[in-house]
Amino acid sequence: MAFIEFRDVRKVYTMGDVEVNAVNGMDFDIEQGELCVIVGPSGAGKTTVLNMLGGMDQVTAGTIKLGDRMVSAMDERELTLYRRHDIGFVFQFYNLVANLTALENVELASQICDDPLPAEDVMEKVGLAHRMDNFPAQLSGGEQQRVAIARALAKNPQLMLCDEPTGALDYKTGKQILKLLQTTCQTYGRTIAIVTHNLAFTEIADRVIHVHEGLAKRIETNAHPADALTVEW
Amino acid sequence: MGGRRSHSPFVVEILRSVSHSLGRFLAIVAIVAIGCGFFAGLRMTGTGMRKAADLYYDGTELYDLQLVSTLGITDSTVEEVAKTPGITALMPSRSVDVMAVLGELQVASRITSFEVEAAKDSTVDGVVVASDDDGYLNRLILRTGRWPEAPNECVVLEERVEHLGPADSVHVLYGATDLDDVLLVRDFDIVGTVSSPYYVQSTSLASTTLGSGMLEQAVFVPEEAFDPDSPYTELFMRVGDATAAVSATVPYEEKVNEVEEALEANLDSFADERREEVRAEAQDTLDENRADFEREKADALKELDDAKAELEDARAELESGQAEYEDGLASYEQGQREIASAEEQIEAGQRELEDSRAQLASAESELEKGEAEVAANRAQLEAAQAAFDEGVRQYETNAAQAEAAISGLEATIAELEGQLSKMGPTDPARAALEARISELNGQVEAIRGPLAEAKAALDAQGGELRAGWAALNQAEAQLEASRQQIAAGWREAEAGEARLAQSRTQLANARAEAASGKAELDRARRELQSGWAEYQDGLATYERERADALEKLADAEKELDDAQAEIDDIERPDVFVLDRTKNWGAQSYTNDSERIDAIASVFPFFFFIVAALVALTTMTRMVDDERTLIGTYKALGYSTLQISAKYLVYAASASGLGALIGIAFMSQLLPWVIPEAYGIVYKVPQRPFPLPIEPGPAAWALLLGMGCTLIATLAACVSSLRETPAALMQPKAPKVGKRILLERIGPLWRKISFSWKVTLRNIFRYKRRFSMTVIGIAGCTALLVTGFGVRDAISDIIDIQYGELVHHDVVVGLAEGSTQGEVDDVVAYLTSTGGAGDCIIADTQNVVLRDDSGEGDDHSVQLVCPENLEEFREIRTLRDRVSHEEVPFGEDSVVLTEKLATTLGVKPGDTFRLYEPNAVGNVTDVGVEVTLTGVTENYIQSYLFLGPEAFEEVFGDAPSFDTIYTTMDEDEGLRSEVAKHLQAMDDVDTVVFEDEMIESYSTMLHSVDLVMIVLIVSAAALAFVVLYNLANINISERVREIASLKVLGFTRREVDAYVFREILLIVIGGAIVGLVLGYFFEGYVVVTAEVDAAMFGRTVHWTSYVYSFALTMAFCALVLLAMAPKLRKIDMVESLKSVE
Repeated sequence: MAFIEFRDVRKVYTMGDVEVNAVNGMDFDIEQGELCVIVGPSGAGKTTVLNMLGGMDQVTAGTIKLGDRMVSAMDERELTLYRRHDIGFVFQFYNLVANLTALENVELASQICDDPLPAEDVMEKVGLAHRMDNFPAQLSGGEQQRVAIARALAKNPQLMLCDEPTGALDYKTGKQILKLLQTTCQTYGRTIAIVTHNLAFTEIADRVIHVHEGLAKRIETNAHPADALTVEW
Repeated sequence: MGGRRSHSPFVVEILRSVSHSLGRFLAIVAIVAIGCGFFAGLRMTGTGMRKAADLYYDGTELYDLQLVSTLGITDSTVEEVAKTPGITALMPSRSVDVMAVLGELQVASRITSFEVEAAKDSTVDGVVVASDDDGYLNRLILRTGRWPEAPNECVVLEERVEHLGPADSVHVLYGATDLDDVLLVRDFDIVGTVSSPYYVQSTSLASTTLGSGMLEQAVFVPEEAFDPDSPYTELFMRVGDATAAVSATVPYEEKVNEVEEALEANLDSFADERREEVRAEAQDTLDENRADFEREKADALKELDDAKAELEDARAELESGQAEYEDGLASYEQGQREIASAEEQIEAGQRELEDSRAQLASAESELEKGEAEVAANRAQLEAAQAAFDEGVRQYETNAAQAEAAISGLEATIAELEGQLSKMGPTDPARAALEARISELNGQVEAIRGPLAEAKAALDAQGGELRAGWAALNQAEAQLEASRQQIAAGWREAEAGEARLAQSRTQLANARAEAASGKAELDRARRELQSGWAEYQDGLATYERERADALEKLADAEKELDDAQAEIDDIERPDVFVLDRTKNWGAQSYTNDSERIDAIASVFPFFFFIVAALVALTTMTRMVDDERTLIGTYKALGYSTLQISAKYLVYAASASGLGALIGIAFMSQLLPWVIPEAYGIVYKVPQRPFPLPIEPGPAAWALLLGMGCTLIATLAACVSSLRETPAALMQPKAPKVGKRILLERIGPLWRKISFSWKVTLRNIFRYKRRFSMTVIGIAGCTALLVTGFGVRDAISDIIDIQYGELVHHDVVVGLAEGSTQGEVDDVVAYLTSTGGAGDCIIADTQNVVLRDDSGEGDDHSVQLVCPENLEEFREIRTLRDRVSHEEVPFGEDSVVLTEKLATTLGVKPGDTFRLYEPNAVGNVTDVGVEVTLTGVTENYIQSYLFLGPEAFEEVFGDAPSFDTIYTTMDEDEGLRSEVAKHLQAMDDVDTVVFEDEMIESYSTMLHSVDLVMIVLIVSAAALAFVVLYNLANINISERVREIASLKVLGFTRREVDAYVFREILLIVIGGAIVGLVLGYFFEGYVVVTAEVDAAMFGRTVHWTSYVYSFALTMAFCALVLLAMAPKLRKIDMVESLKSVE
């Protein structure tokens, strides 16, 4: 039994009279400790997958399991707790609280968990020990994303979900972030799912899920994923 | 803009942006509506009140100008005045202030004449009283009953009936001036009630010198109730040109002033004329009186002179009588003296006669003695002769007898001798016979011896007898000669006697004559005496009567002279032209309407500030939201102006719509609600709905409302519009987080959780929003504090005035000049029947105060001078309002109540002027300067408390304590019985129970509730708009943040707290600021809105602050509750979207 199980998951959005099948019976597994890249073009349904996996959205049909927990059966309250304790989220645009310092942004997340990692340690880990007291606006995009990763990590979550984590960053910085995620996965044995349209990322992943038109078209596993810093795009 | 097509994409875009952001659009609409509504509504209220009054005044033809004269007005003056250009209608009328009994109450009333016929013929339509009679001014509106039909019927003010209770009749007790020759009827039946534009203020009609100083009722009577010969007391005039203008506004006053000045130019001549008239009239009467007097004086003097002459005659007569009498008396006395001398002569003659007679008598007696001697001698001689003869004879007998006896004896002797010789010598019988013989011998001897002697004696006697006889014969001859002599003497005496008798007769005659003369004299004397007595009486009477008459004449003359002096002294009457500003009701109504203006000039700006801030934040947010769009438009080639036009049009349409809604709504609400609240005091009828929208205030409101919104909008978009399209396409650099002051306090800051840190940082991050919310919420709280505070202020009037300051329940005023005894009677009644507590007596009177210069406004005030200062403190607390410290009140203290002290601008140690008003309440003297010693808290009416010494100093004489303050049981029955009884007492002027006052202010409180509701609703609206706007912006701006937090696993409550805590904190801060602001605001409103008759409470109760704070929080909670779903609806997916 895989760590994460997606079974015939469907998601239908109703927009007025139009029904859109964003996810149309998706099946995939992700094993614990894997760095998984969910890749696909715009509109393939990968963000919907991310939303459902992150407990931000509910399935229309099918089941999602994380460990022994049936995420797809959770009500809103349970989903909140699920997000709180089990998920760490890294957004494309970092989504830091502008009014909190870098460290505080990390603490903001860690303070609501049961078993958080020390915020300073995490900050150090992501290489921002010297910028802990800076406000997001005083940080570069890469630094902000590091804070975001630190924030996700500090919660000591079961699963880290990253939505186009380099999408707003330049190439070089993006690679460093990618590297950070890879290191995190390897160092902490953290299960990480990255959603991206960038096929280059697939090289560094343990598992690649190709999403197309609401379906997991192809699932690949890399026995030896490449180092993030070597990846070119 | 993009061309003239009706569906220009640009227009469509604007329309869409409205529909897409309906919330913020409506926020602007709402705040502008509130601001403009309040501004326009309040501005229209003052104007509206004046217009309503103007409608009423014009409809009822209320006078524009009023002419009053201290000597009254006559037809000639009326004619003169009528010539003044501009005056279109005139109505002379008579009125008099009286103390009257209405039903059971004794009240100060004004009796005014009116034209009953004109009133009957008038028709009433709303506030318009139509009449054919142009000269019928101050038209009355009949409310109940009917118009008077007879001189003894009257109508009274309806609203005062509500205050005083129903009554059927008016009984006039006495007037402020002499009612003789003025008021012909003293008892009126009340046949109806009316409203009069002359008295629009129903709580106090006007001031008067009677009773408590306030006019309590107006009584309108037919003209026939007044003496037609008495002058008019006032002349009412209309200025036709002023009708078009609104009363109490500048154009109106200009028109009226024009005429007023024209009239004033003639006032002196009116006054002179009137003085001449009055003087001439009085002079005529006086001249007549003087003529009468002179005639009477002449008569009296003539009578006196006659009496005097008569007396003189009588005296002359008496004096001649007296002289005659004196003469008579003298001659009588002469006669008397003559008689006396005659008497003396007679008596001398008599004495002579007596002497000679005595001589004669003695001679005679000597003669007789001689005769008797002679006779005795003769008799003796004869007896001696006889005896001698007898002796001779007897001797012879005896000698014979003796011889015989001797012979017998010798015989016996011889016998006895014979016997003896017989008898022996020793016989016993011998001795006896011998003794016998001796004895017989002796006897013989004894017979023989005397016989011999007798023979010798006889012989001697015979010789003597012969000598005697010779002497006797000689004596007898001598006697005969004397006898002859005496007889001649007697004859002579007899002749003298006859002579004397004659004299005596003559004397008797003279005496009789004198006696009769004397009687006559005595009668004459008595007559004279009574004559003199009579004369003296007459003289005394004359003198007395003369003195009396002269005194009376002098008095009469003096009276005449006084009257003349009075006439000469008749001063030019004070003739005044009074406009409506001098009308108690109209002026205080105007003042109150202007108070609303004053509030209107401050109050709504606050809303405009909030509106500007709301617009600024909203539009800033909108512009920020649409950065990319702006960039796109710019890239597409739209000009900055065109792009900004979108936002300006947006703001303009929102603010325009808001302004229109606000103006339309509030122009109906406020100009209705506020006069409604004042309605308890003023009887100015409300105008019918829809109320006209004043273009001025409306335009201003629109201008200000839209102006501040548009300026805010421009300010919001100008910076964004300056940026290049490329920059605009980029997300706006997020605002740098800032450390706030609190963070410097490390230990504290570290203890604060992150969400609180965010909250605190956010609060200070967005200054516009922060200030908008703080100001808005502060405004909301301030409004609430004002609302509750005004209510406090008014409830304090009663609560403090009657709970803490005034401790008596009833005031009984006695007639001026009541004696101590009369006061004691009332006190006794109060304490016994009334069960009253301590009765404190004081002198009260109505005086007028002015500021130090003596030129300021008149302020009527009741002067109270208690007899006992200590006792007085039991019924009246004199204290400082703020410190509650007792205000010293001693014998020489002068304590003024707070409001008046403030109005006069005096502090202890300052001076002001005190005047005693004349009968019609006008100041005519120069007044007295008084130095204030203390200011005391007081809410209802104004009082001047004087210590007795201070009183004396001011008035020059001692106070007369004729007012009684006391406490009494609340029992209605008892009170009405006591009131009835007291009012029946002649000396009692007024009986006032303080609870009547309490009641009238309680009613006022209800009307204020209405205003409070408006304030609370506005406060709520303000809070809602501001908070909705803030919450809306905060949420929409932080959708990403919130979504992220949700993604991070924040629970619903945590998310709510994260967003709302900030709002809550700002609201609390704003509310605290609002409490402070409200304190000042309430103070301003209370002082500004204060009516003249009372001082509103100056303290906002702590409960009001609590309520205001709590209500603000409740409003906030409501908004947040309403916003919570919006927060909940934020999709976590938002967090994934790119920054716009």
